[in-house]
Amino acid sequence: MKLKSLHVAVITLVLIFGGIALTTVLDLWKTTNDKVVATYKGGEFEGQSDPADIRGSYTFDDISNAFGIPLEDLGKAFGLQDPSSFAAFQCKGLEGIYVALKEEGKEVGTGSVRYFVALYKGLPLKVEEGTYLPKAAVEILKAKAKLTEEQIKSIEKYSVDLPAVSATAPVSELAGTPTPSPSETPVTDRVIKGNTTFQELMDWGVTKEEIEKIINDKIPKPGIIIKDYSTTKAVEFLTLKEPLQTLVDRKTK
Amino acid sequence: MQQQILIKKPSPVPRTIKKPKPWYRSAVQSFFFVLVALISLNKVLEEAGMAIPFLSQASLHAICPFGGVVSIYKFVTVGTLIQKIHESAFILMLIAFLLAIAFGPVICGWVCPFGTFQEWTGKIGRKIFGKKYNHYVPVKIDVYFRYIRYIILAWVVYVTATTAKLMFQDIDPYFALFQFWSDEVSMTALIILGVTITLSLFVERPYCKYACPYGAVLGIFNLFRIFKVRRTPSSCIDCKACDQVCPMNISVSSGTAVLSHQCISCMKCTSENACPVAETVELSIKGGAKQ
Repeated sequence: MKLKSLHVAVITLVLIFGGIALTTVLDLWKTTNDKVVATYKGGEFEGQSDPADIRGSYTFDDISNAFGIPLEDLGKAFGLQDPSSFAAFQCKGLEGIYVALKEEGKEVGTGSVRYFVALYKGLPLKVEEGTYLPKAAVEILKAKAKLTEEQIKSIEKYSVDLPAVSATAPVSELAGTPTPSPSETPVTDRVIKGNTTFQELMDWGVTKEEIEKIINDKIPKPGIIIKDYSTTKAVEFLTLKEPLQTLVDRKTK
Repeated sequence: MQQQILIKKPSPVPRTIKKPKPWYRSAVQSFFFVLVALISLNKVLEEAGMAIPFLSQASLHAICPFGGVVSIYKFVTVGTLIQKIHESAFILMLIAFLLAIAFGPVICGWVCPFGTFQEWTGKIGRKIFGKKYNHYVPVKIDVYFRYIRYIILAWVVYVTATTAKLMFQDIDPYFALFQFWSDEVSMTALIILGVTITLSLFVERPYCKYACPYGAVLGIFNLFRIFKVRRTPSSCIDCKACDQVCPMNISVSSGTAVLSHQCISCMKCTSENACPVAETVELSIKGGAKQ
């Protein structure tokens, strides 16, 4: 049996669009999340909604409905000002609002919402490194959730002070201060951020050997962004950032 | 009748013979390129309340079958898909596998808009460099470079499985091309896109050849696909037209069937296209082509 290109074209189109049509009829074709949070498959919490499945596209209203957390608590915890915007606010919006924090290796985003929900409801969750909670969220948790001493210490350690913001204004804009270029960076502002390169560390007085000892590898190129390097090595940015920042601080003193 | 004579007594065929080239592949490629571009745009228009009616408002991740591939581990172990990936990507992955079992990586050669984009860019390179185009990389090195995409595939699958995040997005030039206006696109992805565009001026489909992890997955199907590109040695005049036209630099003339993991099933080498002898290079099941 032989096929010509016309046959391949027709079969390809029929299979792709036929497959889509068939799965649409069977209600399997979904291009968006149906906002049904997955549940724990076993153990003590079997059948309960799992905060790990909260997606960036979930609104605070979806989360409130799935986990029974008051909308007001969610909105206030994450620094939203306008109560009328709480319900429709999507978790992924946090990353855009608190983008300045992300550049410092601290993330207040969907992961923070998962963490907040898990603590609020006393549910288990594997928290990713670099996930921070706003101070307002910590206060709400201390007041309304049953936390252990260890958990309180942990959330206080990984909390950040956020200005109250609207759902659209980035913190960087609210600060209103221009970011100096690396060459102009004052000694006191030598903080490793999401866009800091190995070269900048060397410019700040850290030697190549000291950096390579920490990353346990040769620096591929001095100009490479440390965060990109950590991504390619599948290493959390924070695990490199903290010891490197200690080195920078030591050199600055 | 004339064709039969050619087959029975293979003799050099004048290379100047012109035959109409099928346009179906170009049409399918253009269709999918425009469709994906419009869907990407529609997502933005929808957020601005100006969505194009009757057109999907899906995200790019929702219509990329590779999202299904990188989600397999989480789907099997936890029962859910990774972030940003939806059931549609999984369904497209299964359809792509079905097509690959039958015809090999037709998704690469006929559907993938990023492959099409590289081909279009390559046309500029072909005009500039003529016959030298697509022959710059020494064969001895090239043979090994072609396996880099399997290393990338292993890394992407491992990182996605361990983080449950769509890490590939940060290095994906396809995402960068169709979302270049979005702040979701990383600088690394934009740089890789720029490098790919530049390399496309010298090498045909450089990303597909050396870096595409999805092409690596589909390329494996070339080993056991049902319909293979087969060559009939008895009627072959050894003109090497099939080798010269192959975008992936496969030596079609050196065997009776193309088994290379690099074949994208574009059918440019077949008697419908480049091969000047009728019924000599064809897409067929075993025994379909003359031995």
